[in-house]
Amino acid sequence: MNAYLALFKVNLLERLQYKWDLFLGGFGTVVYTFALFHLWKAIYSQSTIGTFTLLALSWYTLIGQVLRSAGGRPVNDISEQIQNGTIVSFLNKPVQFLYLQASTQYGKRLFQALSGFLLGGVMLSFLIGFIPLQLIHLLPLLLIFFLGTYINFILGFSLATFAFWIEDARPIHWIYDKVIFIFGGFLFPLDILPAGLQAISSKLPMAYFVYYPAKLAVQFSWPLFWQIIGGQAIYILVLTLLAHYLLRRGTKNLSVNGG
Amino acid sequence: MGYLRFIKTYVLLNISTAMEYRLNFFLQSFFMILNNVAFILFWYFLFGTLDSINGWGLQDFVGLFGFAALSFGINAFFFGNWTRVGEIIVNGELDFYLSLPKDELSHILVSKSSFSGFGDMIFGIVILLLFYPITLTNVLIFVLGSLAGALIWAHLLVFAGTLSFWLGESSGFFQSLSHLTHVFTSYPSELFPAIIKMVFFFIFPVFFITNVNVFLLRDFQWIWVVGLVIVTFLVVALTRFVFKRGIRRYESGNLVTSRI
Repeated sequence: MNAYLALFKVNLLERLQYKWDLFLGGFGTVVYTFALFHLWKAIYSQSTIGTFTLLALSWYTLIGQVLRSAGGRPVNDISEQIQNGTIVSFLNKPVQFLYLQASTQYGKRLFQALSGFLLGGVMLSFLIGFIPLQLIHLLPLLLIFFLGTYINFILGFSLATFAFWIEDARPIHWIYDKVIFIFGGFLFPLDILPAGLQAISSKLPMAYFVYYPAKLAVQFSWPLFWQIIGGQAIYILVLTLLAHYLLRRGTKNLSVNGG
Repeated sequence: MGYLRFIKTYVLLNISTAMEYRLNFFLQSFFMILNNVAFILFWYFLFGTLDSINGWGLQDFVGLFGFAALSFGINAFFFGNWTRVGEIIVNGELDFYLSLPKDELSHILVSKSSFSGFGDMIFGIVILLLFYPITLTNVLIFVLGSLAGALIWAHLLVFAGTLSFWLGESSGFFQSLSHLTHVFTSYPSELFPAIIKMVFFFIFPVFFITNVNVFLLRDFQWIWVVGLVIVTFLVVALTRFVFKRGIRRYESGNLVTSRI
């Protein structure tokens, strides 16, 4: 456990060396939230989306973006490590490659996500107001956020292991990214989808990564909290087993030349 | 004429490189098309319950995205280094281009090609042809509008990259501006307050990349054509002027590379 924490800390501190870049890293979240806020505002002048108010939907958009940026994209690193063979130096160490990657990705992304949240939050507070949040809900929300981003990490990791067979798994990850956009509730809440698609997508693991956590943040209720945490626990268990299985099969397929 | 032949040679070389790795080329193009379909689905679902947003219908929103994909694809495929100018300056890779007799900026831009850009181009063309009637005027707007949009977009990002002559390492700043152009090319200017419209029409003219083309398809007015021509000319000329000035400040990194 100490090794993973140390790696997390190293990556976190490394990112802190580039303060200006860290600040600008959150700028993308601000621009995107700004554009979508104006889109929602135009729509709300004539209609509504699900049970969301304009204030709730604007903050939902921001939180969705922050969650997506927090979990990282292991596919880039893993594809590269498999292509150039450096993955061997991680696999022959007495640490689990899965958790080693998780520590690295969270360390790399945490401050960027926070920067996006702070900048975007200030902007939204000026544009429409602050989201009413009770202090007692903060810890349960942070837990849900962490588990949600972990589901995204494990899914991304599992897809990245395809690089053992096809060398570059990034194109597969593009598609996964877009599935999150539409069926994970990233671009808009699932309430916009037609009833059939809504029923299916609300059961997918991606919904437990963006849609439910972001919805909980703007419409907190304890029954919703317990429903989300139950779903997240099941998906984390199943997906972790899957990730370990794929990694084991993939490493058998690995062939590295040279030293 | 000599420059056109030079650019044509590079384009043909890039295409033959793409064909050398044709499976990768077709895979990347295919996945990029799928990637873009997701955004069309977004508008499709959104307009399931709405007729229009601020007077813009599904066709207009899809038109914006079609032009964005087409212009982006043109730049990515034909001018693949459009996002790397700052990096080339900072890494000292400019020496190679300075030592040759051709225009440095044109040479930099055409000397790389991104395969996925081909998928973007195909997607943009198909989407525009599917969602708009095929008339001579419309086809002229598709072709000339996307070319003008591509030129403006490429030169705005080259301008941002060129600032590295003065700022040094500024990839974070560049990424932010690049992200900004991506977002504002995909949304109608009508959504935004007057101050934003003013900035993105007249100061950093991102709205001329896609919005003006959709204006022309909705209601053809010569004033927009004149505006598009003037802005394209100004952005290209200003960027080239700033790049030439920047070269005077360039300090070689004595980087020795081999180009295979």
